[in-house]
Amino acid sequence: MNADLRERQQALEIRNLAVHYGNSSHWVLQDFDLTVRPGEFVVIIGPSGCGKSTLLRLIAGFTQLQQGEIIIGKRVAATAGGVCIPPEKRDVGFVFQSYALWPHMTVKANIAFPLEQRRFTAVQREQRVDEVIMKFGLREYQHRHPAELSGGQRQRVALARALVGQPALLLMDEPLSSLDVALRKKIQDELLIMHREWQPTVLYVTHDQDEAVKLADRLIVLHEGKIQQAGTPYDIFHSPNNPFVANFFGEVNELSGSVVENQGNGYSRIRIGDHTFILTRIQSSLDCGERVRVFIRPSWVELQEREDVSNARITGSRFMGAYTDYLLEWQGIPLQVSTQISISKRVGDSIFVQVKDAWSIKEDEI
Amino acid sequence: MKRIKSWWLPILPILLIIYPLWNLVAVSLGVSTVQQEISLAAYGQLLQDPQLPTVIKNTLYIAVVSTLASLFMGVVAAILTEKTDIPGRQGWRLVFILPVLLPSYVISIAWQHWAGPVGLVNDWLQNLFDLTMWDLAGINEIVIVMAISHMPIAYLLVRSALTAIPAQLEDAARIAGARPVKVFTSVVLPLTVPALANAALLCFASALDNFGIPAFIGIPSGITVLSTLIYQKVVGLGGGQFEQAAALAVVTGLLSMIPVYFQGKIFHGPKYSREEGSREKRIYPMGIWKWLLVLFVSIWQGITVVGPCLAMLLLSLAPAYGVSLTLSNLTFAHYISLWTDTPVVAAGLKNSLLLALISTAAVLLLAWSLARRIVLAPSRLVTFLDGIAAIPYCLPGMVVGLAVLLTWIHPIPGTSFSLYGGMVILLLAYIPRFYTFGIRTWTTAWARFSLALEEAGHVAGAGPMTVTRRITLPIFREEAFGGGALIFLLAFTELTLSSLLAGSQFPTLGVIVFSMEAAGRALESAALGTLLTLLTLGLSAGVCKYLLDEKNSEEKEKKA
Repeated sequence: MNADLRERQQALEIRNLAVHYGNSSHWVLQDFDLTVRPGEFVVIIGPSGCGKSTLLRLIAGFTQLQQGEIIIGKRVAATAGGVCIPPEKRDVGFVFQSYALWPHMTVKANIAFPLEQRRFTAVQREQRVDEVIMKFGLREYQHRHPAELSGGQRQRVALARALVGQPALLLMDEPLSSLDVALRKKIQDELLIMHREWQPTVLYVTHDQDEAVKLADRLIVLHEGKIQQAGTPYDIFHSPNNPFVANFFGEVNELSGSVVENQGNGYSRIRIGDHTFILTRIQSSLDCGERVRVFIRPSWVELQEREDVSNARITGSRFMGAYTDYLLEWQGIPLQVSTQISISKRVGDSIFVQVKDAWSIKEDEI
Repeated sequence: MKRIKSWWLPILPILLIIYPLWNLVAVSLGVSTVQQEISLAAYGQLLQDPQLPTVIKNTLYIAVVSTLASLFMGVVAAILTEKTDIPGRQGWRLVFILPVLLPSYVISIAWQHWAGPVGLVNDWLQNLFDLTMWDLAGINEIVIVMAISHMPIAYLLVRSALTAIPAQLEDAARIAGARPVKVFTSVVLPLTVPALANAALLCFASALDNFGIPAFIGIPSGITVLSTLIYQKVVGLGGGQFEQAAALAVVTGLLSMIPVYFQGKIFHGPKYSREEGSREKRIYPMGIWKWLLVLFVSIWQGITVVGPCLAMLLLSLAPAYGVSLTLSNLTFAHYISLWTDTPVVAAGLKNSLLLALISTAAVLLLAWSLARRIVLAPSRLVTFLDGIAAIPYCLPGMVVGLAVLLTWIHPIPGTSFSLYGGMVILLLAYIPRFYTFGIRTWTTAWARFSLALEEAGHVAGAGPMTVTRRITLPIFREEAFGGGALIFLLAFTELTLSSLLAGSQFPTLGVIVFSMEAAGRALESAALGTLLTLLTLGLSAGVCKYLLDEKNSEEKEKKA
């Protein structure tokens, strides 16, 4: 009973999903579980070929699954070898990478089409279409054909068309990847505003970390068909589960060490190299002497120009605009640091390094 | 940078295309070396010809009805091979485009032996049920054969429109709540409308152009169309008739410009970007019905293509006309007699091969520079020349043939030497006629070529000739082969131009089959027709691949 109630509160629930291509033994997705709450904006991120587009096609009903089940809202949409509701009955919206606007229909006809497939009176339909057209700022363009629109306008039409029928779930497959950087930023802002106003449940696929971090309530990192980590963008950036996730979200210094002292409350003293000790956050309680992998983001290190003491030497530097990248030799360990503070020291000079934050995971979990 | 000199580009089109057509108009207006005054006498006489209204009516009837039938069959075939999951689709694709590769006169012969008044079908019906219900002789037989032989035009165009539709457009409609049937009617079909319109115009133009079918089926049964009327006026009568034939050709030419005019006006259809790398297609599962569809396609193909070819083959093996074929009386005598008793066949084979080889090479060679400029350095001159080059193919072949005949028949001034009846006059007709195919071949290739590839060659120190030989041509090999094979095939089995231009000294294969039919040597012409079918099939392997490759499917479109 309790479990049933919880189920009903999910907009999407995927259990134990697996899919492979043809007869090959290569799994596109494996052991995949995911629940999405109503109104949540979930972003799935991973390198190309990680199975993220396949996942969307499975949820939309374009591909059959070989194992597991998919529940959209209250309905079982697909089970292995059993139920498979066709795409048109799944009550989902889909924004395609190519937008897939029908070139022979006007903007308005494109947006009205989903409503024409449902039971609406002409008046209701007209009202809803007009409302959506206004909301997306498409009034001037409503009688144009897609070929006469700019990239950003097409993007808006595609979104309007996907949302007009108020689907239980909105799927978006790298919808901004064909736009230039400036426009992409603008549309991301619009997406966030739209999401705040309408609260649709969104499952969004991308390979762009900045976009993912900006949009997501919750992030799912997918690699080689498996979920590597799920959590808020903050958690994933600060506490990656494994080296793949750590490296996928920006640059990171990856070091080996061992636990010297478990301090409780999530911190441990770790020895790196022969005689360097730092305090790091840790994933789970660790025993003394256990091998760990230590992650230090370049921005977690502070450089201090002190006359009295130094513990590192600058071996390289590169001005990057908003910040400067330094390559250091820190007690025999190479360390990449980026800082916004301007430093008068040059390559070859000595400097004092203080690690402000670090994150360790068990070596055997890698 | 290289300066592109192009002053010499117009020479060829002016000499080989504009000048003969100009000559045709001049002759129709009575302007000749003897008489310099313009007169409309020939047109006046034409109008008084009591035959003319019937001829025009026949022509239009055949063109309209066969176009509708071709379109219908082409659309159904394209949907079956591109949008359903019927088994053996690749094979069916080849079968569906086959008729366009077979010369239309061979299809006519085959069809007559299949479903003609004394054909195989009637024979069976008579034996089995003692009835003769099949009598399609006459104009409807022309319509049917024309529809079969032009169906692939519609098929190819609609097919390429169907395959060009990005799969996401259909997915988007499904997601929007449309069932498969609705997706098909509201997204797929509307997107093929421009291709349908184009196909209609092309089929119509091809019907006006066709000479083989009305010549082989129409002439014996007394049904005349414009192309056969011009032929009869030229061949049947003396010198004074040239003016009338020319006037008739001018009228026919103008009539054939109607579809070309409409093609310029046609709604060119919605533009949609095709996603890079996304070559997915959506097909509609037919479930258990697919086997019924296979049966349907088999019967269809059996009746329209396989049956006729089989009938022709069987007849060519029969001992005599009207004697039913058994295993014991089967004979290859007619094939043997083609070589032993009819030396003209061997000569014709040699002539046709030679003509096809030379004109293919000449067309590809002459089109190279112009095509390069059309793609890389477009100007008003080259666009204009591109349009001019398409004229001889857009005009009915008979009109082009007459223009070439009238232009080069007279002895070269100051000598008694005339080009008529030799290989040269045929080449002077074939080259302009197929020139546009050469241009299409190279422009498709150039359009896909990145100039940086050549530039990299130049930077590496290679001269223009080396770059062309070592870089450009090898990359174009596939296109050149496909386009070349198509030109070769068209030239090899050509009938229309050679029926006017090939004298008895230089007969082509088409002309030989034509005269055999006219002489009533049905068995030998069936044998020769069978041989031609087999030869064509052999050659077609390359062409089929080329035609089905959708990058090239625009190729078949006539361009104004």
